[in-house]
Amino acid sequence: MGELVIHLKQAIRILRHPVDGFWELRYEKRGSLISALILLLLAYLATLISEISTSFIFNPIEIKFINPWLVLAQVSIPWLTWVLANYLVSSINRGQGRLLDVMIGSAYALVPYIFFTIPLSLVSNVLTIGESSIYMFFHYIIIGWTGFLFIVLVQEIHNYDIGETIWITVLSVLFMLAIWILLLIFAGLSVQLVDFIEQLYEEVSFR
Amino acid sequence: MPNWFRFVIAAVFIAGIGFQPAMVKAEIPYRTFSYDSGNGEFYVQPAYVPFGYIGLNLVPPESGGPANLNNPNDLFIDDTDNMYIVDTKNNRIVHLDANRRYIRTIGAEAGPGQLKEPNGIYVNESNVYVADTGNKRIAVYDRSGTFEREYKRPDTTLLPKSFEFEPTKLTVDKRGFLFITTNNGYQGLIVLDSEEGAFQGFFGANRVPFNLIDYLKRKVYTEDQLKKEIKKLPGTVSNVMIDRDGLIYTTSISVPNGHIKKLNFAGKDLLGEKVYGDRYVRINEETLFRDIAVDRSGNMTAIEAQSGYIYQYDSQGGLLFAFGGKNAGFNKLGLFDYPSSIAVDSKGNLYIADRVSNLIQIFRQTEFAQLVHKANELFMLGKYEESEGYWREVLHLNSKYYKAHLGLAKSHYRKGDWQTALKEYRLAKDVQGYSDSFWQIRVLWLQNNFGIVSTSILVLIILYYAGKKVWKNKKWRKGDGRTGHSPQASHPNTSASG
Repeated sequence: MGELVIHLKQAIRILRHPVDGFWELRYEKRGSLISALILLLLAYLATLISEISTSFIFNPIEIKFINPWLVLAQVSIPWLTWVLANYLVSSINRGQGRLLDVMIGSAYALVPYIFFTIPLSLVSNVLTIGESSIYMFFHYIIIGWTGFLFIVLVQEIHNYDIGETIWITVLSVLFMLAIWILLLIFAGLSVQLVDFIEQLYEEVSFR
Repeated sequence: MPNWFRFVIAAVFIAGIGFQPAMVKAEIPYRTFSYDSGNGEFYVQPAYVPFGYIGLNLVPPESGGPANLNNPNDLFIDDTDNMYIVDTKNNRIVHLDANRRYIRTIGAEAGPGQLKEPNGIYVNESNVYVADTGNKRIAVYDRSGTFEREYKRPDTTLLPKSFEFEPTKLTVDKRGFLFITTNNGYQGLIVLDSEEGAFQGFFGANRVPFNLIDYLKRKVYTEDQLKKEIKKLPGTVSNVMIDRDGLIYTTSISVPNGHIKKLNFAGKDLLGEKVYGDRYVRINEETLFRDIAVDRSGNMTAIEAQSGYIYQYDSQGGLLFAFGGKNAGFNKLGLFDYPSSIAVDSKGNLYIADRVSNLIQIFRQTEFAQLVHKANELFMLGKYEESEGYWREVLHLNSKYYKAHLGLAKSHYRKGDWQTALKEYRLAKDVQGYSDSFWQIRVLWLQNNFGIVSTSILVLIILYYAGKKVWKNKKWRKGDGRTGHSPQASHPNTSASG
């Protein structure tokens, strides 16, 4: 239990000292799978709550149309493909991180998003369209910060230099897209196959 | 809002998007829908219902012509509800009275007034104007159907030599000027004066969409290369009509936006060239607006031949209803093979000609549509308070009809009831209106709570500085305020500073 607290405290350390934070995460075992899962769950809840509590002006959808499962998919699918893509790409490019390290690191990189999304969505409730630039400014800061942590994570977990880091990040993103396209094609073809078998069955059963 | 936390819990446990209840009426073969301000589609109860057709055994045998219509391409209903049908393939105009009984045919006898594949008609107090496409002229008759005069291709150097004068539709303004659409008339409407049919100019032409690639081509290409480029032509004007105020309405095809235009005297579109018809652009499907009818309160009803949908817009181009559809072998009243023309009578009934099934279908307003029209008319005139009662009745019939929420919101906003306006704007999915009402509420709240707000800000500032000082002193006392900052240095012994 005490360990878990230390692991979760590391999230705050990563906010203040990202480079050191990720280094410790990897080489001093300051994170565990459980703490990573807790952070992921928090990221999901943050997304869900911000969807609900953001002002109608900045998120003009009805609360009853928010589908928690869809939000779960929106959060988890990109994250999972990122972990997979980054691990696979870096493991053939002399990256030192293991799959577990990439998973834990990628969960910790979401910390600024977890911390600041809900406050921003609450702040949006006192803003009007005229002040949307304030909202968008902080919104982009959160995204930029999170993106920056992902780059630091690649560098520290796999022990790359900065040029390699950027190259591997770009490759990982491209590989993510490739995974999605392949999955889409696969899904499309499977639907066709199922459809074909169904029709074949009908055809035979009517004869 | 105290409710939102309950929503959090509910939203976590309830999965699945709420489906809108389907409103299916067995006797009506289509669904009526509309788009809200967020461009979302929603279904409403029928606004127009088919209640009959004309076109079979319409013309009595003693008149000599065929009894049925063949390829009706234009309809016209005059102020006294007389109806004129352009019966293209039978080369005649059929004139019906207000009870849809046969009166006469025009242009069927041999002579100078004989028509050849006419396509369009306009009728005013004194004359009947027919766009006689096959004879490349405008034929003018008096109200009893006697041929008076004709307008041929205007003798002018302003029209290119290759220009074929094949009029298809026309309208006539109060001065007697003719506004004519022609086959492939991408130049717009041709305007002729009434005395000798002299060419007065083009009117209401569409613009060629211009993009970056064209710009680059124009900069980079040589003159020879530019000549080889396929010429980009503006969309053609497919139909024209005029209302009581002298505003001219046109429909256009092969245009990305501004399918429907409401042109003033100077040729300016008062609707702002919006996108009409389906909200999505579909591959290989062009929006094919063929005709438009405008009723007495300015509502525009247009037919889109590609999908067979009838779109009704209010006088500012906001969608009220859309209904209809293609006849996919059902041969049911209310569906179309190829709708070619639409007209509206003084009671608001719609007459829609189908040039493949050779029938004219009649649609009657439902109570719901009447209410919406009444409310929207008052709303458009700015009489928000008066429209309120009607909007409430509309909502009673259909709680999803966003225009009703918008109407109520504007009414409440005008009255200064910001809270209700906020709620209604939200239901109408109008972000701008919602933001405006919220701004008012916020100003009011700040005015009422200025003391509390300023005091709490002051207290916060004092607390911040005080807290900072206390914190600093504490750190200084403990003596661990400084740790190594360079990453390399901190790696070996970071466990102390966690």
